Amino acid sequence: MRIGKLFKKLYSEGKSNDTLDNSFNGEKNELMKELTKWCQDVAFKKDIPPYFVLQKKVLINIVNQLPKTKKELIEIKGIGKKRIESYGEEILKIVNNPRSFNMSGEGNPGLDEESQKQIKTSEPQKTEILTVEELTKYLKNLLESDGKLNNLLVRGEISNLTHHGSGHTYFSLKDKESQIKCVLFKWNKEGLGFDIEHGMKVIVGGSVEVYKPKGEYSIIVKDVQPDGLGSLNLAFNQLKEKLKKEGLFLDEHKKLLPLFPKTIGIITSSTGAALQDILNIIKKRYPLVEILIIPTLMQGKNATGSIVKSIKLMNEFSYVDVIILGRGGGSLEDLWCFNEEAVAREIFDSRIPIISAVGHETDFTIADFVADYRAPTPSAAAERVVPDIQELYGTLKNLYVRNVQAIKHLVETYRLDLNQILSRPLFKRPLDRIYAQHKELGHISYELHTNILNNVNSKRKQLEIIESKLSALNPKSILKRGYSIIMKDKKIVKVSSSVKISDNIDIILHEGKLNAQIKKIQKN
Amino acid sequence: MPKKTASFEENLEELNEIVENLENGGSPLKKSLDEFQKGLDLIKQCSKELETAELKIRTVVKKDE
Repeated sequence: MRIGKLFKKLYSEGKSNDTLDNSFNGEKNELMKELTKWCQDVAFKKDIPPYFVLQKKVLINIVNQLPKTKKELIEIKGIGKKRIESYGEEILKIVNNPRSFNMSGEGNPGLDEESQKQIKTSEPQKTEILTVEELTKYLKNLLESDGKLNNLLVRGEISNLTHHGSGHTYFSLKDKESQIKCVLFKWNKEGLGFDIEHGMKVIVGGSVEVYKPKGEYSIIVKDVQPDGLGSLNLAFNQLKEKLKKEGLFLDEHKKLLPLFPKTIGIITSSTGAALQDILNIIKKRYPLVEILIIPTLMQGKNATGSIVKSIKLMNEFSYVDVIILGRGGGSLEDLWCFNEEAVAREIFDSRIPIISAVGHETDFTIADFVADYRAPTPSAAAERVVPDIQELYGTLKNLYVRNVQAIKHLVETYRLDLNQILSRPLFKRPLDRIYAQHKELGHISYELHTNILNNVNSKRKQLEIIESKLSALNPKSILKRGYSIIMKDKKIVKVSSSVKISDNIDIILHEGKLNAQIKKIQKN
Repeated sequence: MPKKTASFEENLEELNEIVENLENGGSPLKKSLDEFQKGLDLIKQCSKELETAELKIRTVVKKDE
C-alpha cells in the first residue's frame, strides 16, 4: 500500500536534500536554492529521485556559469542532449529570470520616503519588505510544494486529542523535543480500523499544510497506524470489542465443516513452510481430495488487500467445500494483517467455511475469532479438515464384519424356524395318520366281516331249522314212513265219505303209485 | 440417464444403512441376501477408492500481484 512507496520516497529525497553549498554569495545562493527546488518539484512529479533530474554538482556548475542560451547550457558538464530537451528551457528561465519578491514598500509605514527609496534601490534579496500575507503565502508555497512534506510518515505520541462537533478530530503529535498539530478529517477516519486515543504511539501519514488565517502549519492526516506493541495491542482489543458487539464471533454464524470434503481451498504463501506441511498431511491422511491453492501475501502492508482478494476469488469457485487460511508463526506485527477489519469482514462474508490457522498455538488473531473454525497451526488445520484414511479402513473392516454377522444371524434364524416346522409330526411321521386310518379301517372291516358272518350263520341256522321242519312236513317224508296219499279224480281223499265202493283210487306211495278199487268202507 | 458416480461419503452412508437394516432383521430372506451382496460390493468399492486415491493439486494464478 502506501508505506512501501513512502519509504522509497523518504530514502531518495532525504539524500538529495543535503545542506546547500555555503560557498555561494547571496545572489548565487538564491539561484541555487531555486534550481534545487525546481529539481525536487520535477523529481516529485516524475516520482524519481532528484539526482536523476540533475546532480548537485551540475547545478553548481550552472550557477557558476550562468548560461544564457541552450548552446551555453550544453557546454556545462553533466547536462546531455536529453536533459537539454526535457529541461533546458525551464533551467534557462530560472537562471535568467530569478524569481524576485514583490518590492513594494507598502508594508513598511514606519520608514520615511528616503529610507524607502534606499530600500528600493539596494540589492533585492537583502532588504525586501514583505506583507504578512506575502510571507505566509511564501511559506505555504514552500512547504506545500515540497515533495518530502507531501507524503509524510511521522512517528509520535498523540496528545491534546479533541473530537470536534463537525466530526473532525484534532490532536498534537509529539515527542520529547517537539510537537506538531494534526487534523484528521471525518472522511479519513473510516479506513483507520481503530480509534485513536490520547497517549497512543502512532505513525501518522499525511501532508503538511499551512493554514493562512492562523499562521499555523499542521499535518493533514490521511492514515494512522499503531506504533509499537502497546498501540498494536490496544488497536487489537478495540477492534475485537467492536466486532464482537456486532456479533461477528457468534457460534450461530459459524458454518459446519464438511465431513468428507471433495475440494479444499488453501490461501497461504506459496513459499512458506505452512503450505508444504498442509499438503503433506492431507496427502498422507486423505488423498481423495482436490486441492486448490491461491498464493497470497501473508505479511506486510499489502497482505490485507491480498488476503481479501484471495478469499473473494476462492468464493467464486462453487465447488470448493472448505478453505484453509494459514501461515506459520510470527510477531504481532508479522501477523497484523489477520487483525485487520477488512480481513475479518471478508472471512465473515465468505460463503465457503474458513478454517483460520494462523501462527502458533497460543496466538489468537481476530481472524481466529471470526472464522468458522480455528486451528492452532496449519498442520492442525490439515488434520481437522480431512478424515484419517487409516480410521476409514478400520470403519470399512468393521462394517464388513457386521455385514457378515448380520446375514449369518438372519440365515440362522430362518433355518431354526424351518427346522422347527420340520420337526413337527406332520413331517416326521407323515404316515401315522394313514396307519391310524388304516387300523381303523381294519377294525371296521373285521367287524363288518364278523357281523356278516354272524348274520349269515344265524340265518343259516334259522334256515336249517325251518328246513328240517319243512323236511319233516314234507309229505314225501311222511310217505317214507309208510303213509300213502289216496287220490280220486285228482283230488286227495281225506275222509271215507269221499269214496264209494268200487271207486277207482290212486294210491301214491313214497315210491311208485298203485291203482286200487275200494272193497270196503269203514267209518270211524 | 446415467447416474452420477456416488461420492465416498454417499457410499459409506448407504453401506451403514444396509448393515443396520440387516442387523434389525425383518426383511424377507431373498431381499436380505441381495442387500448383503450389495454391502460387500460397496465395501469393495470404498476400499478401492481409498487405495487408488492420488492427491490432485492446482494453483490459481492471480493477476496483478
